[in-house]
Parts: sequence; C-alpha cells; structure tokens
Amino acid sequence: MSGKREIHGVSMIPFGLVAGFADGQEIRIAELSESGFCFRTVDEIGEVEKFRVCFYDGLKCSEVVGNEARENCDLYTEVAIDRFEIEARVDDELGIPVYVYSVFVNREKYRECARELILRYDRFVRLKLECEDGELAEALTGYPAKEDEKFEGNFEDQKESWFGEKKGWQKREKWNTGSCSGNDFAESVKNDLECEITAEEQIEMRTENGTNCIAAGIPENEEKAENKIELAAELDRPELYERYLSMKFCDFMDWYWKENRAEKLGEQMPIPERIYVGNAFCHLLFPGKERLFEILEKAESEGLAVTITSSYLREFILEPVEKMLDELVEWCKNRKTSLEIAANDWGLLELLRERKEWKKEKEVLVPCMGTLLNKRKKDPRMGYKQGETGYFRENSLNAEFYRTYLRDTFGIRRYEWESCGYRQKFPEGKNSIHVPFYQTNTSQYCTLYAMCKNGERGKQELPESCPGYCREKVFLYPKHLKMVGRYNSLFALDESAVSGMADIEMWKSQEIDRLVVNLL
Amino acid sequence: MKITAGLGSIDEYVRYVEAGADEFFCGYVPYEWNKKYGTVLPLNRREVLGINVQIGAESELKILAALVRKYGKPVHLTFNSLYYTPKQYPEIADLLRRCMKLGFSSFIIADPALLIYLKNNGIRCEIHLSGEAAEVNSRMIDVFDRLDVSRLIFHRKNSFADMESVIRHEREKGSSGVYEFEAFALNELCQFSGAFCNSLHCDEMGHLCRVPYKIGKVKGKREKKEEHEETERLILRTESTVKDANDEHSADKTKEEDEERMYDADGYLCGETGCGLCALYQLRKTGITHLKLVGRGNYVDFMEKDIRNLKTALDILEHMDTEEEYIMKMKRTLFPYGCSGLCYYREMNPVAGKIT
Repeated sequence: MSGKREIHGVSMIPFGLVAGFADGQEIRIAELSESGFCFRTVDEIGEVEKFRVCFYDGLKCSEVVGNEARENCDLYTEVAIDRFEIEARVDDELGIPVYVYSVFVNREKYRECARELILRYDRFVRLKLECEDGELAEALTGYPAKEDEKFEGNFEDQKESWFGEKKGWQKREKWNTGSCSGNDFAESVKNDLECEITAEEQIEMRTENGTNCIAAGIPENEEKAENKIELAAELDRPELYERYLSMKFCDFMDWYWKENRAEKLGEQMPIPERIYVGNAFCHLLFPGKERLFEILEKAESEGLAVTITSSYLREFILEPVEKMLDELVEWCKNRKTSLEIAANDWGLLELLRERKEWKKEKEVLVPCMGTLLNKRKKDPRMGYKQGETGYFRENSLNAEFYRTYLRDTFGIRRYEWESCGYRQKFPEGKNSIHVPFYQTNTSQYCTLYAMCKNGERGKQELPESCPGYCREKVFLYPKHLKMVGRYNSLFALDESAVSGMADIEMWKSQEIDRLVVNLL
Repeated sequence: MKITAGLGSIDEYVRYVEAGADEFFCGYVPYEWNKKYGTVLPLNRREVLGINVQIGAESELKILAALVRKYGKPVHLTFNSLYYTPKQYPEIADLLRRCMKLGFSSFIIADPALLIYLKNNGIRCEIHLSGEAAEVNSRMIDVFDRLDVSRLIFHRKNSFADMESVIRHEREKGSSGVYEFEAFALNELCQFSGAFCNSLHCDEMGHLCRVPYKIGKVKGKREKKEEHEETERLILRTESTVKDANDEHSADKTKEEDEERMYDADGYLCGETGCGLCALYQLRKTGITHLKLVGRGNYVDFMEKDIRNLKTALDILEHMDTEEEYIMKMKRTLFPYGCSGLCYYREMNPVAGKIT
C-alpha cells in the first residue's frame, strides 16, 4: 500500500487537544490539517464506518468567568465524519511496522474546528515559549499578571490588611464565597445577609465549650458533643509555646488575636477549649520533650483538651518519636486520660497502630488524619481555573471504602481539613477545619533555610541545626494572591473563612464539629 | 543500577532504548477521562493537555506494547495523582484492567486509597509507589508493604543515610518486602515536595511556586527594640551569607565564556534543571536499583542526550574504585566546563561543587 496524497498538516498535536475514534477504537491523530488527518495502528483495521474527531475547546474559554459559565463550558467539540476517503500505507519508522492511515475529509464543520484548533495550539505554544507564566495566565484566563508586582512591606502589614480594622469583614457581612458559601469561586460576590453574632450567642458558645477533659478521644457525653462546635487554637512554633507557658490561657488568646492584628475578629470568637501543639509541616518546629510536657500539664490545669500535631517523620527521627510516644502513653495512663495525635505521616500511624495492637488496652493515643495526608487541590488562583471546578469539592476521604480502611487499620475517626477558598463536601465522621489559612506547598528541605543560609531558595539541604529563621523572616507574595511563604511551606488565606469564622451554624451545616484557628 | 526514563511519545521508544534506557514510565489518559475531568482531576501528575507528555490513545498503547515485546524494555504506566474522588476509583480500575489486557502490568501509584481499592477488588498488578506518595521512612513502607507494593520510588529529598536505612529495613523482611528501589537522577528538581504540592499544574497557569516572591520580615514597625536588633543582625547575617555565597560562586564560577561553553551547540546542558550524577556512587552504595530520569515533554534530542550521559556516568562508575575517582572522571567527561550546580543531593557538595 502507498498513499498517493499527503495531509500536509501539523504533526503530533497533543492527544489532550485532539482525540479521535475510528468507530469504537480510540486513535491518536498524528497529523492534522483542514483537509484531513493521519493516524496509525499496529494491526490493520477493517472498514471504518464513521470517525469521530474531538477538538479541545478549553484554551479558548478565557473570556468566560463565573462558576456557572465555567461548568457549562464543554471541553471538547466532537465532529462525526461518515463521508471521507482513506488511504493506508505501512511504515516502519517506529522500529516495527505500523499501518498509517490518511483520512481526507470534506466537511465544513471539521474544517472550521481543525483550523481553530491549529491556531489556538500555535498561540499556546508561542505563549509558552515566549512569555512569563503570569503573562500566559493573563492571556488564557484573565489572570491579573501586573498585580504580581505589588507586595506588602512585611508580614505584619499583610496581616493588618487581612484581619485589621480597615478590613470590611468585621461588619459581619456574609460573603457568598469560598468555604462559607454555596458557590465555589464567586470571589467578591456579596449578598445582603447580615449574620451578627449576638452577645447571648457568644455566652452560650462559651458555656457549651466548658469541658475540662484533656481526653481527645470519644467524648464522654456524645449527645452533648453532637450539637456543638469545638474551638481550638493551634500553637505551631516555639514562640507560641513559650508565650503560652508564660501566661494564663485567656490572656494568651487576647495577646494572640492582638499580635496577629485580629483583635476585632478575636472579640467575636469564644475562648478555645482545645489547643493543637506542634507543626504539621515542619518537623523542626515540634516542641522539645520538656517543653511538650510542660504544655500538656499547663493545658490540663487549665481544662484544655490537647491535640498533638506531628509532621512528616524523617527516617532518622523515628527512634526519638517512638520514645516520645512511649512517654506520652505513660503520661496518659498516669492521668487516666487520652491524647489526640494529628498524624501527618504514614509511619507515625503505623507506630500508633502497633502500640494499640501490642498492648491490647484502650487506645490512649487517638490518631486523626492530618492535613498532609488529606490531599486536595488548593491554590489561591483557583478562581481562574478552567473546567468543571465542582469536582474539587470531593477527595479520597469521601470514599467510604477508604474511611473504613483508615478506621479499621489505624482507628482514625477524625479528619483534619483546611478552609481553602472553595466549598468542600465533608464526609460523615468527625471533621476539624483549620481556618483561615490553607497550605499549598511544603518542602522537607526548608526553602527559607536555603535562602537564608545559601542565598537561594533552590539550594536546599536538610537543616542539621536550624537557627529558626522563620522567627523573623517570611517569603512575601503579591498582595492580590493573599499568600505567604511561612517556615518551609506556602500558605494562602481563605478570606471567606475570616468573615465566616464565627458563623457556627454555617460550619455545623457542613458537618464540621471543630474549628482550629491558626493565624500563622 | 538501571535507567528508568520518562517517555512522552511512542516515537521516542527505540531512540531511547538505543541510547541506553533499560525501562520507561509514561502516562496514558483516555479521551473519556479528559472529556469528563479535563485538568481539574487529572489521572496522573502531568496535569496538562497542551503538551506532549502522555501516550495518546489506546491505539498508541497497542503499538507501544508491540515495541515492548520486540525490544524487551518494559514500560510502567503512571496513575499517580495524589488523590481521586469516589467515582473515579472504579473508572481507574477498569482502565487498569484494559491496560493489563494490552500487556502492561506495572503501574506507578501515589494515592493510598487507590492501592486499597485495587487490593479490595482483587486487581493484582505490579505496583511502584510513586515518589509523590508521602514522606518515606521504614515504618511508612511497612504500611505499603501490606498493600502489595513491589518498588519504592524515593522522593527527591531523601538523604543517603535515610535511603540506606529504609532499604536495609525492607531487605531484612526477605520476600515480603519491597525489593526494588528507585531514586531521582536527572532533571526537574522541584523546590517543594511532590507529595506535599497541592497547587495547580495546568496549561493555563504556571506552577504556584514560580510566582514572584521576596524575602521579608515577619514584624514591621511594632518590633520591639531588642527584637528589631536581632532581626537586623539576622538580615545582616543573611545578606552577608548571600554575598558570601555569591562571592564564592563568583570565585568558583567559570568565566562567562566558560558558562556559555557548558552548553553544547544545541543549547543542551546535562542536568540543567536538576542533577544527581555526582551521587551515583552513594546511591549504588545505599542499595538503589533504578535511577529515574524525568523529562517527559522536554526536547527529544535532549532526553536522548540525558540517557546517553547517564549511561556514560554509570559506565564510569563501573570502573572506578572510589567515590572521588568516579566524580573526577565523570565530571571531566560530562562537564568539562562546569555543571548547573542544581544538585539533587546537596550532601555531595564538598566534592561535587568543584569544576574539574
């Protein structure tokens, strides 16, 4: 066989941009032009009745904004072709003989779609090769690339702009956005609902949160626990450990809100009844053993429940962690209580599982699924993402078989989530939500350490003795993204979780039973 | 150690085999998946449609299967997104079955829930635990042993000592443990970690980690005097560190013409975006069995050169007795005018940073 005519098209446009079917067989369009296309197969195909060519429309949706419009935007235009001419030849350029088919099409719809796709692909390739990422995003999505040049002077000023008095959120407008709304990414769409929390409601919340039990497992009074939201504060770094130990908890919380330029926000929140101790993202920010037990004892004396947060575990810290777990078990036994452990490492879950199995006793260290193990797409630019963004609402924990495995294997009944700028569907069970920041990226080799020690963020190494650069330094990001590089991670702010933080009913309606505040 | 190279298209298979690749990994995303999920819920970590990083279409997979039969270099398929949604697990299971019928039996997976789904549903295949899965330690791998993982791919930020300890732990288990261990060797050194990277990687926007940033202070005007002084000291120290680093770089840095000469006539420099070649001696010592060469979507000519260079480095390694000898010979051969300095394994720096 030998082809008499040529397609004269663009070769190897990615399959994601143009796909094809020869009757039921999925085929790769190896060459595309307005007059036809080529594809290849390892076996000779019989007579084809109909082709279907699927042209990607995604990259032309930049002018479409808003959830509804994006969700209704079909990603592909499919063109059925039942009148065509086909020629075949055998080619062995690949290293084995394959059948190469040239299909000549004379249909206007096909011609139009092929022309548009080739133009869009060409434009996309040029943007990729010639432009900065921001410019490309601007061209394709309307992303405001010029805003990438505007920064705050320091992290404190940034917090002032996020939480301070000049910020409009404290008027208690309910913003119809993000985690606290029905929409996914309708940023800046405001409705008129007023949601003032009354003084009576605040008092009621404080009274309800009056448990004195440090135990974090199944509450003794399940019925009571069902209808309330527990508030927790996250102590995630040495400065906070020290500060907490130096003053009464209620004074600490006053200081905490004030220090973070969030006094008004703090006035609307009840006093937390639980503290999280430790950092989910950096193993170096976990308190030393002595400090940890001091905190536990102080928390016990103040009637605060405790969740210990452990980050990923490097191989070389497994042994000290095992020793620490043994000491925590002992500590709990002496007090006939239990502690919750927010695990962010599969190895830690395994260590906890073994302790439970070997000792055949009641679980005193109760694991919950930490943020780093609870995966999800998170990005402050999510509002510019094309496609059916409603799919973001679920993740693997929405699958019952997975929750069953976690419960039966590790005893996990609680999951740690983050408010991340869009609506999430939380599964049955116990759900804690961390507000108002969400992590997007983490590096075990600290980026801040690399910058401060080696002068470049990419020149990373495992810090052997970290001087704690993160006490004084951060990575600042363009103001419009509302994000920050803190410790070894990047975080972004969910503004809706600031304005909606005190909206207990809203959290309850989303199956959340614990709110964990961390203002970084 | 074997070379496991990324494959962006079946057209590259034979070229890469001839260059020295021992096996391959690639992605296959059927049209129905793209149509339904686009890049919102991708099937693997190459979360783009507009770049040739996947093997397109089932018809291409059939050709690839025939190539594997003829040339004998296996291909592992990547299904390594960090998570999927409940409805996707049965869809992926069907897809895996289809791929297995075509002759592909090994899959790179990162989502623990997918491993559990496959086990629960009796889908038996060879599983490579992706370097994007999680932090790696010997107790973590105990969990994944029970989920029938046969190869562990270390992420980009493991130390030699940690890798060695994990491998020793597994080998002590005998046949019940993981028996193959893969480590990154060339290209695409990320500043953050794949397992903890939750931001978008899509056609229409660059990676979040590449958005402009600058170093700044935590505190502003409210800083107390002593804190202010401490911060200033830190900034001074940082600036001098940066200056020292730059000076050191300048001192060691090859002259501009040498920098240009680092690149070949085609503009190629081995390991320009990440390199672990100096670490091969140590990686072999730790028990690594496979070296990952990433770069799907890169220029094919460059990938071919990468494979050849990695092969050359392995050949040199075969004939050298000491680490110093290996590094010196390898750098003289592959980097006569200096290297990118973007080291995967920075603990190698004392010997690796110098230009011979």
